Amino acid sequence: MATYSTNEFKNGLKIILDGDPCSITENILVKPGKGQAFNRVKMKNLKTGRTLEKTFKTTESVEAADVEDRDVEFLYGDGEFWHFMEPSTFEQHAADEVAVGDTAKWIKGQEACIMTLWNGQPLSIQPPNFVELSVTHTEPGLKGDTAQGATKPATLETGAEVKVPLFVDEGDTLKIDTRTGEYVSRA
Amino acid sequence: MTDRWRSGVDLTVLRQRASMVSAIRGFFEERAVLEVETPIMSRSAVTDLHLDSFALDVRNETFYLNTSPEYHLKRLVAEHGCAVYQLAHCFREGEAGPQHNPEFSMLEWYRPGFGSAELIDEVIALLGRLATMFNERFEVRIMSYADVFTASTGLDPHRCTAPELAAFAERAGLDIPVGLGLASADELLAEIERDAWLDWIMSCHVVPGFACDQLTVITDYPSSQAALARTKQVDGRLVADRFECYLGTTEVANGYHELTDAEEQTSRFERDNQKRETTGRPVMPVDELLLGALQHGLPDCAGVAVGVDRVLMRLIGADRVSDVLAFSWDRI
Repeated sequence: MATYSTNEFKNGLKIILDGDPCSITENILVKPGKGQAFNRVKMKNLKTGRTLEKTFKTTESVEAADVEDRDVEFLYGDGEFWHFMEPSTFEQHAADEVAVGDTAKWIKGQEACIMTLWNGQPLSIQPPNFVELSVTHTEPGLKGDTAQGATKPATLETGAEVKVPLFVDEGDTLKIDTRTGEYVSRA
Repeated sequence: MTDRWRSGVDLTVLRQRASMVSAIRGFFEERAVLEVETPIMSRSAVTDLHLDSFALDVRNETFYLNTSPEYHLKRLVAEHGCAVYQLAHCFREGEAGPQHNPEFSMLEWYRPGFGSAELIDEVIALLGRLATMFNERFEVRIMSYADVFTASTGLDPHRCTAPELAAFAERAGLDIPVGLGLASADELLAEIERDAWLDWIMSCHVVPGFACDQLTVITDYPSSQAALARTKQVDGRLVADRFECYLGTTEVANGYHELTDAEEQTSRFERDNQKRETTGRPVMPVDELLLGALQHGLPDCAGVAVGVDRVLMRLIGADRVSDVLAFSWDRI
């Protein structure tokens, strides 16, 4: 089991805290001139996505987390798993519902994603910032309805629901910002 | 990478630093304190449990970069008996952070014939002069470690135990560092752990309560944290004749009524090394030459070390030490 001592702490370092893999986002040395040193660490729990703070006495060491990011392409979903492939090695990974999370809303096939693996298992998937998806269902827009800001719900081919302007019709291909889940424009 | 060749500070900061240094030199010239230069390197190292020295292995000999100019300056004072000061570059391994650069500047001076009170007055006078130069003002508050700690926690820092400190931290809802434990049966480990609790509660609970426009002077430290200060009896308790100064919440100075007893100093260095060994740290070579100077006779004196980078940070409103250093750690 690899460990890191606190003097190896730096941003981006992956460690295990309370059983979860975490990534250090900030590391501050707290030390009186002639006294015990402590490290005040902010980190992101890679499993839950939450940020947390933890202080360590500098003589402590923590377990290193076997976490790495890989570039992958989405192949298909079989209802239980979402299957991805690394274009460089053709290695395939199957991610479950928890690992895919919200990304499932935005991918239909062939999207370039970033997969975070923990101990070789898919932990989370990051979709591209923008995707293009077609509308499978929405109420028809009334011709000439140019009311600013008014929106209606639309269902996309992945099953995701987004708010769209009233002029959008079924069959339209839309550009969506996956970071906000918002309509950007018609593609 | 493309910008790393730059110093990280603009001309304004360089000029502000130069003004500060010039004012420091003027202050000591007025008071007839002699500026001296002493080596950065030594064949021995500080034995303090919490200080790590950079080591240089050169052809079967090891040299250490000084963590402060203290030992050389004391040897000078023992030899010539006059008041001296130095603006020294010091090195502390592993100390890098928003308030720490492994290489930093220390203004250190010694006053034969002064006690802590007189030296504190002189530190206040110097910081006051620098503050005025930078259009800053500080209220001065002088309090003993006991008073400030008790006011903040209800505990007597000279008597309370590690479990009592831990219980207070829990009650007060303080963040408890991983690795901060409770008293062990081993006397040395128990002292180390109790000091660690005191340091933590001071850092995260007491010091953050200091007003930001205040120069807070804390006197009479716990005797276990005496380092090279002499100890004395106050209200039936043994305390260290040691003081520290904070500008707002930033620690800027550490001073002592210096220990002059060679035997006591020797046993303190040995105890330091025992603490190092017990906690798995390397034992450091004791400075026999400093002990030689004490045996010859160090005049009764008080000395203080001021972190001038920290002072400059406070005077110009900088948040990070790298804001006041030409080429901080990541740019060298």
